[in-house]
Amino acid sequence: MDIIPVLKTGKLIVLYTPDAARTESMTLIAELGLRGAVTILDGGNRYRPYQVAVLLRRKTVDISTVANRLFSRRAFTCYEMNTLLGSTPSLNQPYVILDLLNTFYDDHVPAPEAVRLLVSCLNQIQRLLLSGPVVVTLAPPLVNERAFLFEQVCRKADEVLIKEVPIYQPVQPYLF
Amino acid sequence: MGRTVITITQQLNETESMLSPFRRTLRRSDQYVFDGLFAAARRHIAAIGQAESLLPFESALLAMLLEQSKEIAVLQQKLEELMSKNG
Amino acid sequence: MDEASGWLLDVYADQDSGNVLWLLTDDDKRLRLRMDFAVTFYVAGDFSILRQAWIYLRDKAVKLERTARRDLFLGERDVLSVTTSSPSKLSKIFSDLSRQFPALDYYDADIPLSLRFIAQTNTHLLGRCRVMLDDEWVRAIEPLTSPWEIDPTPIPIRILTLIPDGNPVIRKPTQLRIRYERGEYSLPLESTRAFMIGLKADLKRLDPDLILTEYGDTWLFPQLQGWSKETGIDLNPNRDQNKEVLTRRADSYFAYGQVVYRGAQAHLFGRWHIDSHNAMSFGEYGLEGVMEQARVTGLGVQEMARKSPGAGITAMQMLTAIRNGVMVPVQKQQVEGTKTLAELIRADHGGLIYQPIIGLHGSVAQIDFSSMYPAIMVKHNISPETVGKEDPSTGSGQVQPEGLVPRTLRPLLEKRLMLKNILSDLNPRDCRVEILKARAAALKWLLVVCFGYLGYKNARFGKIESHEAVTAMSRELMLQAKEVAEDMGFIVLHMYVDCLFVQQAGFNQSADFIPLMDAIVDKTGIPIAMEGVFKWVAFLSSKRDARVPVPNQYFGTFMDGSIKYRGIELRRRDTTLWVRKIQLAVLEILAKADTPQDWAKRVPDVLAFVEYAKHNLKAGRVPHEELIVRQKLSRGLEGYKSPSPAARAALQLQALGRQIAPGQSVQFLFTRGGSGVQAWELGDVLESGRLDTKRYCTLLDRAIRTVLDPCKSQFTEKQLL
Repeated sequence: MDIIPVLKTGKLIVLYTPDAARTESMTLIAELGLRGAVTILDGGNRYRPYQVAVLLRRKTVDISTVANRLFSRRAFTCYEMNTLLGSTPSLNQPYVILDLLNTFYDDHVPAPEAVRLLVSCLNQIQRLLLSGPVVVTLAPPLVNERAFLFEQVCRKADEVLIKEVPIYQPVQPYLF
Repeated sequence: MGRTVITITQQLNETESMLSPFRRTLRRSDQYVFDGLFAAARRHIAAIGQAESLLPFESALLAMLLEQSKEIAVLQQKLEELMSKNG
Repeated sequence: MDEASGWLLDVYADQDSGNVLWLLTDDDKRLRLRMDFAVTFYVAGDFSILRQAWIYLRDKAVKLERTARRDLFLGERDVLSVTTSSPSKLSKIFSDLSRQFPALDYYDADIPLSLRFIAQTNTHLLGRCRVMLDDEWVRAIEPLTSPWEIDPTPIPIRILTLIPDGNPVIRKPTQLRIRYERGEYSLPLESTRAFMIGLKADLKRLDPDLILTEYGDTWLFPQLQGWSKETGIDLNPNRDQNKEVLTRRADSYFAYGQVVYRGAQAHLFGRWHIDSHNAMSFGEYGLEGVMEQARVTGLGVQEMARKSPGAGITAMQMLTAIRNGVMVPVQKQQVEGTKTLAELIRADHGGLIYQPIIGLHGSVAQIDFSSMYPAIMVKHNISPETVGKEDPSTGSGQVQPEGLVPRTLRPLLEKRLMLKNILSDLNPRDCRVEILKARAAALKWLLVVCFGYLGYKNARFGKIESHEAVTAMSRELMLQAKEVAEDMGFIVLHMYVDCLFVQQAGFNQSADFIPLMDAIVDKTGIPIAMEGVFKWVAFLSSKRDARVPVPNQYFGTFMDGSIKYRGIELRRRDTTLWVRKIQLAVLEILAKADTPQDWAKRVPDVLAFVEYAKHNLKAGRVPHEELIVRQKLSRGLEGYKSPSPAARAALQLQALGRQIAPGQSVQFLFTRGGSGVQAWELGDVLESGRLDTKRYCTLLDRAIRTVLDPCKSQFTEKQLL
């Protein structure tokens, strides 16, 4: 999944895989970081700092300089996601929004509220697009009744990249 | 309320998994020693964590060296005792 | 005007205006009183939208005013205040308004009424107060006690216990056992009419303050409603006959990334109902503990019995906010500040976990910091609004006024510490010990959860940076404690978040460790207590690689012979009772050893005992109740591609019309052949020979291997099992 060639200011790209493009997004963040500053908004606890550091190390010895220009913030509720987006300044740099919809499936948040917040988020994303490319990663909807939120995001995208994972999933062996 | 940065334990597990092709190709007896290296690192998870390095495996290697040095020191002492016993 | 004094039992909104209070008077009367009580919420945000909100509210029987109030983070804010003298109408006004104007910021709109009442009158639930009355109307109210008193006068509440003669889920009950003071009798259920008449009369005659039930939430009160309709006999279990029983449906919902199950609830007015089967805290520390929580948190007894301590600590924080003129936002507004990759790696850690030295150790002291995280928050003034604002010259937030969180926790910490001190001085047979212990445990739980609940996500004022500041400080303090110990010649065997295991040759008594403890308190400023000195303690290794230590997994015997264990099968709720009993018996055999050297001598006894236990199992002598396995259903039955044992058991129940919701546990036995399980609730007796004894023996083997882990090098696998 080579995303960098298709990135462009004003273009919204959605990456959809069963795990919200976990490895692909870390690779992307590392690659973008080598080229300049990146803003990361994490909506589903998908950010993997060590993994990014290891990826950086493969390309450069001076990982600290790059690490210091990868800026991240986390959202633990959809309200926070909305506030994060609203308070992110428009800068001439790429934005990576990880697992945007994860917090929108919470039953404690009524569906109309979730819709309202998502609309607000998408408006903010439109604002950010004016100054840099935006990549949003998505995972399959956690709750069927709210699958329409997923469609709403995809409709706003300029390009939706989908990757199916093979049925056989290698199991990560652990010692504990 | 998950934490974002995985624990050192989990990071070591992931590194170990990445090295599984390497390990697999080793002889069974060498695999045991290989596992021992990671076990050595796992005895110092707290120190590796406190080091707050961007690449924890570097600190883990240091922990492995530390344990090895300890083993050597113990062996040296035993050797000296044996030698002094045998005159 | 009349005067009355007594204990405040209950506060709730009247359906027309003001509040209803119930007072248990000093002359043993229960008074239903009314009080004028206006409630206010605030709205802030874009001025033009606020103006529309004003217009919308103009004809809604509320008082509107423009004013300024304090937001914890933003300081003084221009707000629209909306006041109504009917607290019962507040939630509808708020929900209508917020639906119309969702983009505005709302404050103080969902504060439980009891908290508002307490903040305004300075009284507290279950506290004593004096009221000036005009008939049933309270014109003035004055608190006579404080929630922080160590030993309040006991409240003479009347308790009525109602227990069906069997689990209504499995079998229809035939009678209801009624217990009151020293009397006990049964009401048969066959004739619904006679039962209803009997129960109604009993309720009227006994007039209990608390109805304690088993299955009251899920069976009795819902049934009473149905039987009422059926027989035409009106039975309202409330003391306040103007109110209906407040019921909440059972619910499975998706939150915090998983499925959570909440059972049905039945709340009463004027008296309390607690269902001991549905009250998570009640099992932990009983009625005394629940009452203590109601006393300090401001949430009612019925609420605290059913809710987790997290709700209690949230209420306390709200109360502190109200009392200090800080508005409580309905929706949390703070979000994390930006961090670089390096900053994130530095900040995102938990408590210090120092891997143990594997094996058996003798004469080891365990010392614990007392309520470490709350103590850190109070001592270092760590609060969401103070964090990140440290004074660079002192390196601490001390120059700032005390934050909301430390202010909330301080009296809680002090009371718990005082209770602990009193308990340590009392004779264990003193009659006050049970009550004080329950109260201390209840407060301990509030403190234990406060870190999580005050941190972030759903905490109104939460900020993840304050979470991170606390864990960073805790790691620093643990390292300081380690340094102090090592400077004094101790070996630090293990550390886990807030406790240390230390050892020094020749140090065997608690008193030997006092200088160390004093030195640690001196250096860190956080109180520390001696959990005990172990005669021996075993730190366990990983089941996959014996060279790898596992934190917080150990067992040992204290000098007084008592056993302590963590992380082993005994502690796990999904382990069968049989395995737990045997593991405990094995520990008791090993506990007779006085030193690590002695220990190995006990192992043959252990092996013989385990063989005997297996023999009993195969001979069918183990009651099936002890072999029940408990597992949670993680999703709806349709969601399983290959059903887990729990799912297979749930399917069996489903065939009989019994639904298990995701998040609920299923109990079952392992059987030979067929689906491999039999659901326990089926109520069928399993024929001998159908039990999968091999599987149970395997479970037992695992548990025994855990316990014999420290000496595996001395025995061959064959010898062991």
